Amino acid sequence: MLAAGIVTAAALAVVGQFALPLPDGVAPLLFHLGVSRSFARTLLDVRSLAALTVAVVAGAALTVETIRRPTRRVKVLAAGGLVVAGAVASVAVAWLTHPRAVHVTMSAWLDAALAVLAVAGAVSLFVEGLELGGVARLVTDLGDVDAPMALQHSIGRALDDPSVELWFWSAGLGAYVTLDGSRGDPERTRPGRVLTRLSARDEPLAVVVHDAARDIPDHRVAAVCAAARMALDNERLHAQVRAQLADATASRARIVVAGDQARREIERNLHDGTQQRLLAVLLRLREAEERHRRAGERAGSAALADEVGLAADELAVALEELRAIARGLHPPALDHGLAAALDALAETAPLPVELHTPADLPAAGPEIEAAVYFFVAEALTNTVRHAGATHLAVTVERTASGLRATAADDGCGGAACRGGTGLARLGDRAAALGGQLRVDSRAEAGTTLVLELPTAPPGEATADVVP
Amino acid sequence: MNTIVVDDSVLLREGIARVLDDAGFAVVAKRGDADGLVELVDTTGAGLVVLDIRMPPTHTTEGLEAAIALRATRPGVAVVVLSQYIETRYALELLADGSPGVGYLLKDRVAAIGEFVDAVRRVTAGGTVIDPQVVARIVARERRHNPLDALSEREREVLGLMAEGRSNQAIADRLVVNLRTVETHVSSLLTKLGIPVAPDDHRRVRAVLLHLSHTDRPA
Repeated sequence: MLAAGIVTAAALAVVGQFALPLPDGVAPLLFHLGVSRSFARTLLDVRSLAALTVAVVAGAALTVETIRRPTRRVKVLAAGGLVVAGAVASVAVAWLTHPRAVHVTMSAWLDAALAVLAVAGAVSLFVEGLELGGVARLVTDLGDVDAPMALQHSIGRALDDPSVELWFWSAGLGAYVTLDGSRGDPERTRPGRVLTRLSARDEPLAVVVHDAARDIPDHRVAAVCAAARMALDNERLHAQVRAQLADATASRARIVVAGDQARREIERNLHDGTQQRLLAVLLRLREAEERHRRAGERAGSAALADEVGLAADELAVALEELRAIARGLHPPALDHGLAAALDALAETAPLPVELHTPADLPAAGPEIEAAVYFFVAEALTNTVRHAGATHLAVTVERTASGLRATAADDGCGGAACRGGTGLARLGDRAAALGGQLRVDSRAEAGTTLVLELPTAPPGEATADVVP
Repeated sequence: MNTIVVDDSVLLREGIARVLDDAGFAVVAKRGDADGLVELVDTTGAGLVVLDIRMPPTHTTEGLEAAIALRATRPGVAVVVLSQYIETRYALELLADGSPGVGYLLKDRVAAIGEFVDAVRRVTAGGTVIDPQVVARIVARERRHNPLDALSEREREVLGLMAEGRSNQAIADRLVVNLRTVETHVSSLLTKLGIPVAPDDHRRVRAVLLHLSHTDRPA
């Protein structure tokens, strides 16, 4: 706005020089009106005065600009200094050489300065027009935004700063989030970065962080953001949802891991505590049974031995059941690795299980190995219960991002042969760990279950991001 | 014979020591973990060590590792390893180094006092003992193309007893047949399964177990 005003005034003043000298008829007219010669001369001087005023105002405006925009300070002061020096020098020369022509020289210099101002103002208007043209391009771009980071790139293009970051305020999480769901703290100041805050409906909406060195004017950032506001609001909601989803996924994974650890604890307590104790009791009972049997033919002794023996038998059965429960909670073979645990499953299976596991199985977290183990166990259970199959083929292999376990039987296939809640639970567990479970069950072609898991669980991938 | 008992449960440690003492083994040391086992064997002059697989600190396989280390450095010492769970891999690892005088028993076997003592005696006599339940599981495993189908009922019985570590004479006594019959069955089933004749009982056990546990696992 300011530039436009300066340009207009300067142009008028310069043009005015050619418009006045007053046309031939005016001077006599003025005389007739009683306007004195001196007053006429003053009019000419008024033009000069007007030009001078414009120059002063322009100078003041430029001064204010340089104060606000320190990086331009040096350039403007240098230019201004040159002009002033030039003016003073020529006035001095004129005074020394042609004292009477001083007035003319000053006038000429004023005109020159105004001309420069006019050109500068015009150029600045042109550049602003280009910049605003960039905003117009942004508006068109925004119509095409569908990928999350596209909005950030569009704004970066419009501002001519590829390092632009967009952060949205998420009231739900109480933090700023980026377009791909990472949380962070953009308000922490970093050198060379400038923060522009945007709000909507009196609530914080987003912040735009851009490069300080590029010296982007505030009005340009504001123009860009105004154009992008609706898209920004939309993206804000998307960013919030993505961050919440990432949180929820991480917490699901944590729940699975916690569950596995809790079961392992129970199995260990059963083994180290209860089972040992019961075995010790069983041992004492057997010893007592032996003693009474060896104590000779006395009727009472034999009967007692029988009683003790019966008690010991019952206890032995209880111990066996307890061991089965403990193994169901957490198979001890898992401590020796996934391949060992699957071997153990195959050994006791009521139908032939063919295992194909590579020698170089990638190391995976305990929750991943447990998930594969329970997957195979569940597949085996379903095959045995429903499928009428002759065997189950189990394959574990690496994939680009983790592990794939396949369990294929040659049973009857079809929906009637699919397991119920067990598979649903497995599917949940797989999803919580960032993987997936697929069921392919065609009638007369058997059932194939496929479990894919990443070896880096999702909870570790999205840590809090601090820019 | 001087004996060391290692088990992280006090109750069981005492119980096992009692049973062994009654059977004529002199229990000279009882421990709750396998640290410094080799030194302890040296200082006590023990000829037999009975230990549990699960031990502190991680309670996974410390006992197994200690047993293997002990057999490597003191091959003359008889070692009986007790395990709460059947794990074929553990048995194979114990047998891997090829020297006799080793046993792998289910811990519950301890309560079957007669069988436990018998197994310990066989190990101290230089035999190799694998718990019958471990063998049963390996032999009974369902396979698509089961090589054991080629064996007769009797041959399968003999196979199981061989895998438990029994000598031909012991098998003959058990099945109440004469030695020559057993020898015939043995060479017949070894041929049918493609297992080479082993120079001694210990290597025989190892060969049989290895063969049986590798079926159904393509290379």
